[in-house]
Amino acid sequence: MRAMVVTGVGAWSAAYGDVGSWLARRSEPVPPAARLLPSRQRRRASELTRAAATAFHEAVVQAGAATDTLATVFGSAYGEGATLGHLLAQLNDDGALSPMRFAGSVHNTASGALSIACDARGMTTSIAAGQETVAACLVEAAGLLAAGHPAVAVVVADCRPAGGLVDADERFDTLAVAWVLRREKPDVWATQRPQPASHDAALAVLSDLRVHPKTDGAAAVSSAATLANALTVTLPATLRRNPCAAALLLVDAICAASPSLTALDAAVERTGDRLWTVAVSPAAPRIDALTSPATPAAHEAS
Amino acid sequence: MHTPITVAAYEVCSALGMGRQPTLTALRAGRSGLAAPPLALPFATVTGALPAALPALPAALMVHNTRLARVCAWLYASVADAVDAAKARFGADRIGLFVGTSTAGIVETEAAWATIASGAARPASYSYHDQHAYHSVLAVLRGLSGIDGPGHVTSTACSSSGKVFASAIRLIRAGVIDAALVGGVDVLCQTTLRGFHALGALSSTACRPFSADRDGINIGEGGALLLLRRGAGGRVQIGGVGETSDAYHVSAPHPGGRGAQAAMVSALAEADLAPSAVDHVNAHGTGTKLNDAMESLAIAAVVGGDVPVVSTKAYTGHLLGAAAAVEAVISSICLEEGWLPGALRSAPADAACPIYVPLTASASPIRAVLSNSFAFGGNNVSLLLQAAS
Repeated sequence: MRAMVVTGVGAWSAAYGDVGSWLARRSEPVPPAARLLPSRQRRRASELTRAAATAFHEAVVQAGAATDTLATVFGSAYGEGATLGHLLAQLNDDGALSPMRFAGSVHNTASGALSIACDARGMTTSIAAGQETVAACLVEAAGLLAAGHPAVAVVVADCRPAGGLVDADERFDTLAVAWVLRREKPDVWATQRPQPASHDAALAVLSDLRVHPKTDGAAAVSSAATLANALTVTLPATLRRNPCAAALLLVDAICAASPSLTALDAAVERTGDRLWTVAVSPAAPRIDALTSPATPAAHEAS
Repeated sequence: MHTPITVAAYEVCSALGMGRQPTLTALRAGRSGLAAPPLALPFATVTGALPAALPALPAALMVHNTRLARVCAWLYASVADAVDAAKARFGADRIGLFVGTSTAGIVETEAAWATIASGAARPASYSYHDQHAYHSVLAVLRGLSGIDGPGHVTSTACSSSGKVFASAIRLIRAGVIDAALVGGVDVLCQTTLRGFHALGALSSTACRPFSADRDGINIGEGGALLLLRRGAGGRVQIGGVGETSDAYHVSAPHPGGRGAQAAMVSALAEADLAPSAVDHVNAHGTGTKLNDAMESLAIAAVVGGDVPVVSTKAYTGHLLGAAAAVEAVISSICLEEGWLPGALRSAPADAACPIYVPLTASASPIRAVLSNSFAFGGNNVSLLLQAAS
């Protein structure tokens, strides 16, 4: 897959309301503003949809992207879990479901809401791949860019499962992260370390997106670089179990001072037998406001 | 010209039957699979339930045990040989996996919730991660097939299993993979039946696509799997996939069908095919007032009012996340057989639908079929399937 240039980043969680707060590890709780949604839709939207819309907004503003022509890829391992919980409660109560909640329970609720809000008539999709959701979104974006779309927005988000469907120690808080991606110059090959993009809006270049068998843990995953960032960077407990948690690692890498190899699954030791990684090369010139003072130690080891 | 994308193998199951032959037999007989629902409901409707019991999953996959998973396993058995051949030829990591579903493991979740709500403990056999979650479908199919390339579940309601074709084809053309198992699966459940009823979209009787008297959808279950690969050599190819958005309303389509029209135009453009070359349209044709009105306008605008348009949802019901894949297989069968089904219960015709809806079947050489699927949120997909030269 060819390299992809990151031109915008966005994030929302209850503890870290935007990318700046996350990078500084400065907890500043703020509700998801979801300014792109009309107020009526915003009031009715689930926390997941509002979080996705908020992260998307931050990313597209930074990228200066025209939202009506942007292809969008939404990723969520579990989808509209809270809304589903409401429907299940109604099913068990008098069995009459709210039509609006039902319409808002589909996996592509955020995708549709933003398409309508932005008058975006192009391609939008909504996908799921469990712990590989972040990677699957990047793969789908790479396919779209290769097919000729000039830019793609990726939004990954997951919310807490409803009610007693999971144990207490499996719960996690809502997280949404977004990136705007465009193609690298055609003469840069994915297998080489890419030259940083010279466009002013470029934050980083993503390359060498690939999957590894993780038969016996991180040690077997790559011989070329340390992938301990997934293990040594301590994500907040409230977010660590979120299937999209690795998106925060990718935000760190994009905004870091030096290149890194980033794991796209923050639960490396726990789930599955496949681990996706991506090489991240921060672009020059740096946008100083986004450089994190809390750069994870693993970056210096890579 | 784009590299050809061949349909190397497929399997299908629906209320018409388990497999290609029962499906074709029912279509030729003009016999729908719709019947009284197998679930307890407080309102009248008709559904398309699978007509046979599903075999149990292999022991190694029992952690994912859901009706949906058993549908996947039943379908996979028929394409296993073709997948094995593709693995031997290309390598397991060069085969992708893209499946659509709207329901995932919700049937089991409905039951688990009821148990929990009654005060009992969550059933030990229930797992939110391994059964409910969309990715359980991937785990089951990877477990059965050994496919090791990129994959995901697409869940964009009624367009889900059409969009997976586009995901696969983009990666094949980008050189990331050489083949992909694509498809869709969905099962009958309380949530979707009561949800569509709450929206006023469910018909109390057998649905009547494009009829002046149509009044809503019937829901069906089942699914389809297709093995796509680069290059020629089969009987059916995917010429193009158009993906658009209405950007209009969360649950109603744009009345003029602008997104539907753009999706069909896009599919034809990708295939470099003139609209006049389209022999048949397998319509989304859910049987709602709104969809059929806008879709007929869109179809007429793209291919004109003389191309035969049939909604096979009158035979199978609306399989939601699995609809596009099932109808892609039905369209493939039509291309292979040189035969088109007649529309069921579409009389009297709606004068406001400026399309030709044949009430009887016809045999004629067919080379190009458009198959439409339009979803909540205005998410549209149109597949162009072609007979290989």
